[in-house]
Amino acid sequence: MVVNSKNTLKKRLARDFKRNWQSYLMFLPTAVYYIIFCYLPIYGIAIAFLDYRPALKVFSSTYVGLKHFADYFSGMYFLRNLKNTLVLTLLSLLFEFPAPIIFALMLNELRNMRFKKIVQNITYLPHFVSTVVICGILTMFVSSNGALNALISLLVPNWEPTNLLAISAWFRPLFIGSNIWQGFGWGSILYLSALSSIDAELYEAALMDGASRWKQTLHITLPGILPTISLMLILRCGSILSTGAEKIILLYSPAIYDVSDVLDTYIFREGISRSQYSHTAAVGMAVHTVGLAIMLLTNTISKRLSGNGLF
Amino acid sequence: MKKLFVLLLVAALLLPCMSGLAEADKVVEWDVLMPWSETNYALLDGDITQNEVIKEYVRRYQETYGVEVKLNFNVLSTTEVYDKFPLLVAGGEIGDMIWWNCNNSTYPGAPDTLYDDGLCVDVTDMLPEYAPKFMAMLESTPDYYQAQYYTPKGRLALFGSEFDEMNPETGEVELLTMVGPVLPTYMLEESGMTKDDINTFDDLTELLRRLKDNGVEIPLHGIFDSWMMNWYYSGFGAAQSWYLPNGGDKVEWGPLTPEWREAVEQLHAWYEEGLFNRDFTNFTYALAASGALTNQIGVLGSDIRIADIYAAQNEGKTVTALHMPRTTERYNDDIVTGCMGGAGYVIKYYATFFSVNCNDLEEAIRFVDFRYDDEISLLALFGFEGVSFEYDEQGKPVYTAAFKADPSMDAKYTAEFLSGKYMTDKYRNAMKGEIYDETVFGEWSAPGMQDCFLPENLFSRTVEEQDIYNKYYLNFMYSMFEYLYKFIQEGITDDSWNEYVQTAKSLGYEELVEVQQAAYDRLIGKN
Repeated sequence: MVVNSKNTLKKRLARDFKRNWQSYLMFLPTAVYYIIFCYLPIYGIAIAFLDYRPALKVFSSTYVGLKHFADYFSGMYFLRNLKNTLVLTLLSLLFEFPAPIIFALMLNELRNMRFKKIVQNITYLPHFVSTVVICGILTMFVSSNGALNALISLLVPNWEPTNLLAISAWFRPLFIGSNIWQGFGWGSILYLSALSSIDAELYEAALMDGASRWKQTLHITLPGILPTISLMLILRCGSILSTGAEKIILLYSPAIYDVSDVLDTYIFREGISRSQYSHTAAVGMAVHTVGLAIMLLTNTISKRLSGNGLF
Repeated sequence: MKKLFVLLLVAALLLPCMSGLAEADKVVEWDVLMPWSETNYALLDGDITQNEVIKEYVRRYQETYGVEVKLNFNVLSTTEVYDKFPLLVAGGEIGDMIWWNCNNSTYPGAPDTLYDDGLCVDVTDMLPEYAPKFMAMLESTPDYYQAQYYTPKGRLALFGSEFDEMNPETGEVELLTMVGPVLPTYMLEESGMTKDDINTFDDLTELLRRLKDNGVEIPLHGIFDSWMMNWYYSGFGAAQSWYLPNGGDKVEWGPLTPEWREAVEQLHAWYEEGLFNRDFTNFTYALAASGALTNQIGVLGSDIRIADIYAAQNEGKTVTALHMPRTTERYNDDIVTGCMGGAGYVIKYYATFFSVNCNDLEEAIRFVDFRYDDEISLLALFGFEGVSFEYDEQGKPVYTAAFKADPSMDAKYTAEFLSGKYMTDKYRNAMKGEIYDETVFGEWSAPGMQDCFLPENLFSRTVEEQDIYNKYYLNFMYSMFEYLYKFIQEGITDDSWNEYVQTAKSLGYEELVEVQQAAYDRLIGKN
């Protein structure tokens, strides 16, 4: 029986491949990419348990057990890095995540197509500017001689111009604000696409029932794009402990480490700049294990609440 | 077409003869990995392939030894030194040679582990035969300096380096700092003060106030850098890093002393008054260098090389080196317990490491040893007679007016990393030129101060010591910077100071002192 079922599976696969070989061909590069860059390197996690020396074979290095985990978790930076990471991520979920949805809903209401296109193009542009340039602009913008200080000086009497990126209280608003500015236009594309797939007849029916624009949005538009929102939220939660370290590295300084030093910046500083590969592999492994757990949890909650989930 | 081909053929055959080069006995090609940080900073992205000194070095080597050398450089930029370079070394992508020092930040446990793990070759036993010039230089220096060339396992790891403070005439090691208080002369004149009016920090405060009234914004360069601001802290009798109080042999950490607190409180007072640019947290070397091109140069912590760039870029505007101030009470004290500059240690940046796959290793060692030739040192630091330097009445080389006026000539006609000797003689001479004041520079430099200076990377640590050091040092340092920046912005209270001291202790202060002390004791032969 087993042999038969195997043969059946093989035959089914062969039949399916023959019928859909173009789809398999299109999938091939993605599969190869993930195998080479995501699955094969997983064995490298072992260095978190070793005193790894890159020129030696992985398992030739000295085994040290959980030493690197213990060093990090017992140090003063673990809790602070974790707190900063979570705060930035939650702020991002609270403000960055809904921004493209709201923007897409607003664009959807526009009837002047020419104006809509212009707005779309303008809001997409910042997405194509490199992070380095964005950070350079931001640094100049908030420096003591920058435009933001000049603006505040006009509004607040006796304001002493200062470098806002050196003040802890300013970092999070500037970081999240600049992220929103750079990403809300581009992020709205997905939702605009989802909006366009909503059946127009639903709106016509609602209109005949006397539903206002607001009611139509609440009862037709939002439920229509809810699966997309759920999907994006679950994916976003999967990277809840990744905060865009490259941008923070370009913006932060020791003056604001208390709010800006996150898990990823710590990994960069220790791992790359100081060649402490094992120590930071341990930190990275811990971070991504927690990230995976959060994603699974979000997926379960989403499935229970809305019936939508990744798997 | 035929004629053209024949002409080209004839030219190709004749050119080598016309250039006067001896026919090469052999041809060797080497790939050289070269992080460019220090020189890049000074030269504003000088393009190494355009450097005439390297070409001349190769030409003279062929003339002397009959070997034609082809060098293929893999040059890394300032920032890549801290990320790409360690990754290249870790991946074994180092070509034939690395012209840069490899320490524990480059590769775990380096330099010893570079040899142990089969990435580089230990050439200790080959140097007497193939690097006689280097060995002669090494053996002529005191034990203390020789000791810095060796790893805890007794390997010679800094071949290619040189002392930064060797006086070429006497062979003595002298203190010479390239960092101190400088100001464009016209700014000083407009302030109504003279150089001799500024001797204490109160005087310096008065100058800063006047500059502010004149609309001058002074950048605070390199507050995080133990080297850039040593002159400032030493004025308070403080040190910004490891030091030996009063020239003793007990290693201590400067930023936990009352003198350091006093120095930082002064910075806070200036910050509150807006006497320096509040963007100081954004400092990078690249910003400092580019700032020098746009008048952003000032009294607080300027590298003399930046002053050099400034003066060259602003025609008719010279730079005045100011006296290094002292606190009012201690003005008459002769002893400064802190440290004033980079003296008494080997410049490790320019060390050479040879890959295990290095093509013709013996020849490669001899090629690097050529740096220790007197003529080559002169070439590397001064370039070409009549173009970048000339001899003065005393027969000493001095830079030409054209060289001083055009910083791009520095990138083209000098290559300090190729000099095995006289490193700072370049700056010594430059400062005696038109731009700087010789008397003040004399004050900046003083013999006999080197015993108190302990650069963080001076020591060779054992693997066990390095483990402890790795565990604590980075977090310890970053914590200190965090507090320093907060102290400058918010001031210091007794509570915040106590918290700072406690944090330092909880981050392994005592363990770090123990490691540093053991390494220092080993260096001076105490254990």
